[in-house]
Amino acid sequence: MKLEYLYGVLPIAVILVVWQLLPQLGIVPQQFLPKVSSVFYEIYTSALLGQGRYQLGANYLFTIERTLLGFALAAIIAVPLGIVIGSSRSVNRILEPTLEVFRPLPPVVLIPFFILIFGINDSMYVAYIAFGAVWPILINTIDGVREIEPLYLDLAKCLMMNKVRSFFRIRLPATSPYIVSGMRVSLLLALLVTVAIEMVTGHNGLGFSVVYAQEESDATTLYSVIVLLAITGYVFDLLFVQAENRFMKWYKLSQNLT
Amino acid sequence: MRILTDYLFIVAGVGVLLSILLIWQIVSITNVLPSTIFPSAYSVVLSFFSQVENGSVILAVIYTLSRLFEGYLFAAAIGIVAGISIGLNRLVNRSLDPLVQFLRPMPSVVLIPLAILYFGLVDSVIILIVTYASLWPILINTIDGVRSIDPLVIETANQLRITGLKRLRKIILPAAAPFIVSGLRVSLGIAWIVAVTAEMIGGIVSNGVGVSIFYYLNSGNLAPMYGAIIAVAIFAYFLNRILLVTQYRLMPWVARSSRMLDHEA
Repeated sequence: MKLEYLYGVLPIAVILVVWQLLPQLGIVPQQFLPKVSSVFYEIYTSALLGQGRYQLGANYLFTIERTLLGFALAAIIAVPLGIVIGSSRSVNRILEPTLEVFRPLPPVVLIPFFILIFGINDSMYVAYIAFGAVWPILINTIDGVREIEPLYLDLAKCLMMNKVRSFFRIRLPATSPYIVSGMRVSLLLALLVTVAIEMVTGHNGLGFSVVYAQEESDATTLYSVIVLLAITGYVFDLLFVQAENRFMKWYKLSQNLT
Repeated sequence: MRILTDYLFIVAGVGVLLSILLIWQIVSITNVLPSTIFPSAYSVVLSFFSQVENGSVILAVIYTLSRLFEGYLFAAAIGIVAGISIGLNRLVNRSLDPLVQFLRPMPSVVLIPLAILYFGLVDSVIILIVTYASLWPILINTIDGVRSIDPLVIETANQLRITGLKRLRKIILPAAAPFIVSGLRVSLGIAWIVAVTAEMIGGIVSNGVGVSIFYYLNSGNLAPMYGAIIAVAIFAYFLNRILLVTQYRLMPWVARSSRMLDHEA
């Protein structure tokens, strides 16, 4: 068991060492590949201490705030809507063509539309990110509601639960694994579209910083932003993995049984 | 009777889409939103058809798609081959898993400026980043697909001495295929986002639908801008549809569970 952990650490360690040594030994010029140590030093001074002209800390907060607000708005819209659509076969069939048209649409093409309606401000960012991130939660919730074991609903009938009670005790818990796995996809999608729109609008946020750093040919800042966002994405994903393991244990067990 | 209700539902479904256009038209002509920034649905549809007629919008989408597909097909080739090799070897899988899990969630558009720094403002930057971004869902799904094979099946294959190419064709690929196709669908969505974002950042390429959309926006020519957005919607819809139909046709037995696979990716 311990040895297996080591196996996983090894490739990452090798990459970090090579990354440090290549510029250190002058094999690759530092303006192309900065040392790992200088990247982490840059993250420390610029993001944590707020020094330097890139203000990575402040821009990082912009990005995170937008991502989380957009994600939250997407979840608030998608979960109830998904339950309504999924509960009725007719509603589902009537709305399906509309969903099928809007879902594959790459959200970036609608950036001008959101700019025209809202102007470039915080509500525009949040509305746009919510639009981009809403689909996985919505589709998953619809599927989750539709694929409830009929046995569970029969059970609710046998126990003579009323509608409200059977909703909270049966439908919602049975749908929750789908909702959580949709949210996991959505949160990372929200981060992706946030950085994308920040790069395109060039206003603030890490997406702006990274374009600015490229214009200044500042590789250290470029790598700092990339590392910061990679860690953020990893932590976001890890939170959901933990949540899935914790709250959805019964679901995973039931999946293995069938 | 059943066929009749099926028809009714299709008509109602298309009706919802048309009523969105109708609401758009009403909002525009009543000036709820000023028609200067929100041209009427009618003028947008007219503009769309003339853009299709003179070929400008189709050409723009094709420029975008040619770069998108180059990257996407690279990613598919690398992802499927690497995924099968990693999935078959427990030790390799164990050691690479943390690295893969770390690289996968990173918002890949952030690599576009880095690629510009290295390679300059050239087409291949977009192809490279599309490859990188669409690699992960395909790779991870392929690994999962290979690892999902029932140990009993593997055992039987061993007993029957099914090895080499035959093992790949008869056992591994059929088991992994539904996972791979669902990875391909997730990747396609991401490839679109990356390819169009890269065009919109500006300066990398001078053609493609992302470039046209911003060109029309900046010149205040909004009807053709919406026309271009509609063109993307149509292409994105049909590409997604093609993969869906492939999934249903080739693997009808997974049609249901495959939707669950999408959620996992």
